[in-house]
Amino acid sequence: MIGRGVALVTGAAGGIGRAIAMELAAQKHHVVLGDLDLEAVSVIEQAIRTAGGSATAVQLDVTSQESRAKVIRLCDEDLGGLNTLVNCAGVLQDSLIEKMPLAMFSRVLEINLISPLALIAETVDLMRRSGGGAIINIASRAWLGIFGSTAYGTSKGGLVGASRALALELGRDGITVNCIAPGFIETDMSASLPPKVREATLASLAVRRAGQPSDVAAAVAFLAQASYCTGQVLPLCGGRSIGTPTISSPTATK
Amino acid sequence: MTATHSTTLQDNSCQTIDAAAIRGDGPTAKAIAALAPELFSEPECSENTSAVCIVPSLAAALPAPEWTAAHLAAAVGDPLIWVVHEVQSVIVPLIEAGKPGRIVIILPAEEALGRAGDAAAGAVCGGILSMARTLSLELKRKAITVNVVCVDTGSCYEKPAIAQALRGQLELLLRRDSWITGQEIWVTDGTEAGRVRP
Repeated sequence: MIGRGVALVTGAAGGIGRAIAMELAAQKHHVVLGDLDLEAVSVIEQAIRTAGGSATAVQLDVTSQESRAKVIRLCDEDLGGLNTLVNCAGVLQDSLIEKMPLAMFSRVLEINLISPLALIAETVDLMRRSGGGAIINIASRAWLGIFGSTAYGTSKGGLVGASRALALELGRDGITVNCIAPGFIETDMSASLPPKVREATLASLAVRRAGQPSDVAAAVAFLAQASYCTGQVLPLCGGRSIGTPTISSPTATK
Repeated sequence: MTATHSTTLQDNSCQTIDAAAIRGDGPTAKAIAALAPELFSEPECSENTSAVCIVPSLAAALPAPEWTAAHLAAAVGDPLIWVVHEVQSVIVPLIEAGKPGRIVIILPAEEALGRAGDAAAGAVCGGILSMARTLSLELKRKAITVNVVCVDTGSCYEKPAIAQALRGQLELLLRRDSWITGQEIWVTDGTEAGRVRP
């Protein structure tokens, strides 16, 4: 086994994915950096190597069975196994329910839910042969419900629901399955929020600050080694999940 | 005492539930329709429907290593898309007409909690629970309530007391004057006791 084993991170070119990959590499995993943007993950691969870690950048389209199979073959035949799978690839696209095209809903489900589940199904055999490991699904605080987030929240709630059952199914193989539910994390995506939305969001957080990708990465590194923790959701949201979502208007009619 | 209370609820429900329909063609949907036929006056959803009980059908259990992309699309994607479609078909006319509405989604408790070898059902249930949370936040401003009832379906059919409890929950949540929204109500004989809920 290479160091602590091989870790595959999907969506590794994104702000959170990059931080996860860098942290796992620092923890002596060999990190397979999967992303549609091969150029971006190649840069991260170089950064990891420069820092003394080991990594392999690959182009990965999580919605393509062929692309997923190619990456799994790489892990199996070239790297000797797979110990950690981090499903981080995702898309944020949404609308109010009454205006939401079903095609949008379907696309978000395909990328955020169906594809990660397919990747899990396709990697279980390799993870078993590798002696077990950890599956970590990056869900979202939207799992608890967020105004205007039907598609995204449903996809992330689906990940949470599946992870509970998968944890029960795969525990006997030494494979843990957990979710992390990040809230407001500083990324390129969150930087585009209107200032008023950003201010209101920060004000709703107990810690009064945005999370950093490194906060998520630290949690992933923990779960990658926490072999007695499975089927859980770890909210990383600065206390937003214990605050008040509040949309108050009367619902009853006489 | 209990019987008297129950009778009162039934009497009230007949007067205070507007044009309710049940959506779904699986065995659970049929069982619920049989359990409380007078609650559902609308045989099909129509533009008059203002209260709906949505009962998705779940695919048979299949262990994760046996999944294919096509299976996942059918077992996970299709039921979730169906539920969204059903919700939209009810709420869009209500919103356009400025009318209140009541939506109750029924899920099987065991699958919602998580069952080994049945993660596709877990995905559907988890997705619907999250969907209902968001919908309750969004639709509150439109006076449309959204709730989920997780029911221990086996016990429901075998134990009259649980069937009665389910019927009582539906009566309360579908009422025109209900203000309860965003809730997940477990109607079981203890299936979820001692377990972290999803």
